Amino acid sequence: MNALLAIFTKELREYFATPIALAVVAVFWALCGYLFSFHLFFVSTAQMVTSFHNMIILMLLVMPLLTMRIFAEENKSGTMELLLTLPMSDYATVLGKYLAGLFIVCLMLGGTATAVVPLVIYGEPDLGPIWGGYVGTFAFGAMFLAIGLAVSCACTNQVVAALITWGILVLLWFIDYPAAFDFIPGLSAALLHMSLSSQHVDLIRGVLSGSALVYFASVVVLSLFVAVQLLRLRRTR
Amino acid sequence: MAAIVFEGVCKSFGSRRVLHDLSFRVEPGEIVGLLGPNGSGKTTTLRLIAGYYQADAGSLTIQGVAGEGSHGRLKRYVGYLPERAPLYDSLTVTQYLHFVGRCKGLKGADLRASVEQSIAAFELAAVAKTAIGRLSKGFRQRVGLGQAILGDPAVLLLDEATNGLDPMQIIEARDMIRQVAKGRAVVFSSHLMQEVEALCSRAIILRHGRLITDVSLEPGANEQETVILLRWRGDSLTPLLAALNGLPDVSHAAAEERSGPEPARIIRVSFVQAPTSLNPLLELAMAHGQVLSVEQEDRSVEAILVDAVRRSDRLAMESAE
Repeated sequence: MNALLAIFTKELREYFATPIALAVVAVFWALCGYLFSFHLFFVSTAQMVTSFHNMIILMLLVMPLLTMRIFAEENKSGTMELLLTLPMSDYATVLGKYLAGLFIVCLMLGGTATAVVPLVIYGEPDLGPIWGGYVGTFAFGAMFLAIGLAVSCACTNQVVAALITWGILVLLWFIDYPAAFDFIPGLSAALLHMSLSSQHVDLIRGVLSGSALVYFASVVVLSLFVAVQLLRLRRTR
Repeated sequence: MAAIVFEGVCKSFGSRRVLHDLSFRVEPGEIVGLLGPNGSGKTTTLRLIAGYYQADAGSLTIQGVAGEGSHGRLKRYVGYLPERAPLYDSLTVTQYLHFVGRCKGLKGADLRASVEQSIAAFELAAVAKTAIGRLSKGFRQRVGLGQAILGDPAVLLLDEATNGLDPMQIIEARDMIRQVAKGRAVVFSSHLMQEVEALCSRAIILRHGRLITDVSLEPGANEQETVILLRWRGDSLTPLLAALNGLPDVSHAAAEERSGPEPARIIRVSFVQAPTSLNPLLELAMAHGQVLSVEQEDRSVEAILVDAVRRSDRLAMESAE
């Protein structure tokens, strides 16, 4: 636990020591604010469903920039060697880094909560779906982060890590395309379930189905497990 | 109890075997120099002890605890400074030392005491609040050494710890390493022979992943054995060697393999202690042939290394033939 907290603190310090995390958070907030304001003043709709949709799309674009350095930088600078020779488990290393990343995701989403304030002041929104929407959007962020972390673990070059993460996320978004042809009925159902684009339809409305949450949690656990195995592979390669 | 016991360790990367059946022991209080040309397996050996790699075969014991997997338990006994001292540039020295200390399981007062001890040992107080990225190479190396001694490990592994430093920094680093090495088993890999000579009590020389020489560098150890190289020409080599081996204080006399067509032979005569006179040896040699030159063998670490590597290569060539 001590080691996990040490990694968590170190990661947060590193996030804010470089402009990347600040830039990612600032750009995310600015674009979310712009899109919310556009809908509010020009489309004259004041609801969070569109905002959650925009947040997920923006996270898909910016999260690889946040995750690319998590391990790739350690691999390149050689600090990974020191990290892996310290007396702590590989799980602590991966989880410490993941939790620090989740803190940034919370920060990103937390900043967008300012959009809820005018809704509460000038209207009577149903806060249940808003809370649900935030949980769903957070689930997307947590999943993007876990995938990016696992990819970064396998890379030495940060740009390559970001590109591969984008590739995987975009593929998962559109993975249900072949389902339209319904070549194999079972496979089509599986692809539809895996598709982020189909999952997000319910989640942004605050509808949290158990199967969706299990799917997101499974991807997170699998990604973190892959990251741990990649660390172990270094020792036996 | 030996601090490190390396027993029949083998390590391969793909089809390339980098360590072959490597065995050695390091006792507490010893500073062992790990020497060898590039690619001889020095860094791999240190990484295996540090737990960065797992051995394919053989066993590793540190402080009496046998290693397995990623050496979770063993890592607590080891302080490791990898080559080029990789550090987190955005952290300050204190933040970095606290980070490593916490990863080593230190908490509260123990953590603070260990960090302060490290800062004092490597004279880092002046830069304690400075970001590591702004430090000179000498200070970066000190920070690397500082993190290695956090948690008071019984074993210190230093990979090229003085590489790239200027002469003054080398002297300072050497003194600091000497200070922190007290009571610990230190394995020090270096290309700098004078560093090994100045710091180490023993040298282990590797070549192509095999241990080819394990020699004591303690003061007096090399003086005990004096080796005289005799360049000699004649037909009665065998009777000469028999006569030389019969001389008092001669532990061993042997002719080196002929190199090239030159008729002269190099005869190595080892004395158990420095001979008071070389006259008996010269008289015997002249009685059996012609003495072309006499010189005392250079017993510096550099000479030992070169000699061991050449001998190993020659044996490898012979076995290949």
